[in-house]
Amino acid sequence: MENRSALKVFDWVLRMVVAGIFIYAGVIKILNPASFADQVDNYRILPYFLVAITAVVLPWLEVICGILLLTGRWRAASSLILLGLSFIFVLAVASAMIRGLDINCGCFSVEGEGEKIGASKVIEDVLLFAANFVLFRRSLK
Amino acid sequence: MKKNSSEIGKQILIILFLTFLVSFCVNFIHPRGVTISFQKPPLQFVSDSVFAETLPQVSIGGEETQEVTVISYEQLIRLLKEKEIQLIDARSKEGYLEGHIPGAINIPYEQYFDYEEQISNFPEDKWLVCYCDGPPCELGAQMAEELKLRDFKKVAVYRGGINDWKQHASLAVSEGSENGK
Repeated sequence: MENRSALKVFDWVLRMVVAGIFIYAGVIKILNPASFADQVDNYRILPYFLVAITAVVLPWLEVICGILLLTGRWRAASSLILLGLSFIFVLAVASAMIRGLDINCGCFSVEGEGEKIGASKVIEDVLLFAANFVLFRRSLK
Repeated sequence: MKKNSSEIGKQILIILFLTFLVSFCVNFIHPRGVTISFQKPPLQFVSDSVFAETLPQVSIGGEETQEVTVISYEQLIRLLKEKEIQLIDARSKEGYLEGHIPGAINIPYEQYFDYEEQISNFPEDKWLVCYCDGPPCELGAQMAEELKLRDFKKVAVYRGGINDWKQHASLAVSEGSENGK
């Protein structure tokens, strides 16, 4: 019984933290989509058309899914989308690091000198992916 | 009980549809919205003919600012040749020491309040040209905005920054400090 309530608290805290991270990251990008487009373009993965679409859509996807996760509505759907996003973030950051790109992550700031790509960013994204995975699994129960 | 996967799929489709709808509507009216095109839009510079005249407003960080001029590499070179310029590197000290445009002094935007004395001694008859790394770095533009608020009239931003400079001028960068010259 105690175990179950501890698990519930853990689930709630994790949900709030992950939702907060995505809402914050999304709002920062929504405030300045043009700068975020430059950041996405710096990864040199997508053609400019898809860079523009990503810069417009991705921040809102983060915010909307973050809000759904926060409120607990459509949990499985929102956590599955966030799981997919965090998987893409891991791949993008790791590939930029492997290619030796000296660029800003564009994760939580889109202006100024920002946070540079590096192993710590990859670890951060892997942890976010793991947290999303746990939330998705728990949303199916 | 396991949730129905088709129900989750339906919810995902609704979320994606709503996201696309909201994001494109907001982008349409956003002052710093993204231009949806197949080609990356080029950096916008003022033309030489309006360089010293009344200049258009430029948008920095989502706000209309007071007539900060954006100049191109060619315009920068012209100012350098005419020696009518004080270059200001708005990046961190580390970035500046690694390499900067010859003649530039370093005023890191994030610590500009430590350089009050130096800023107040800037020549008013010369163009104060600020720069940083180049897009998406906005430190040069923010520094220029700050100088404009301090009533310096001839303030410009070299938006291409050190990255654009290196592309044009190959290895013509200075290392070490030129502050105090």
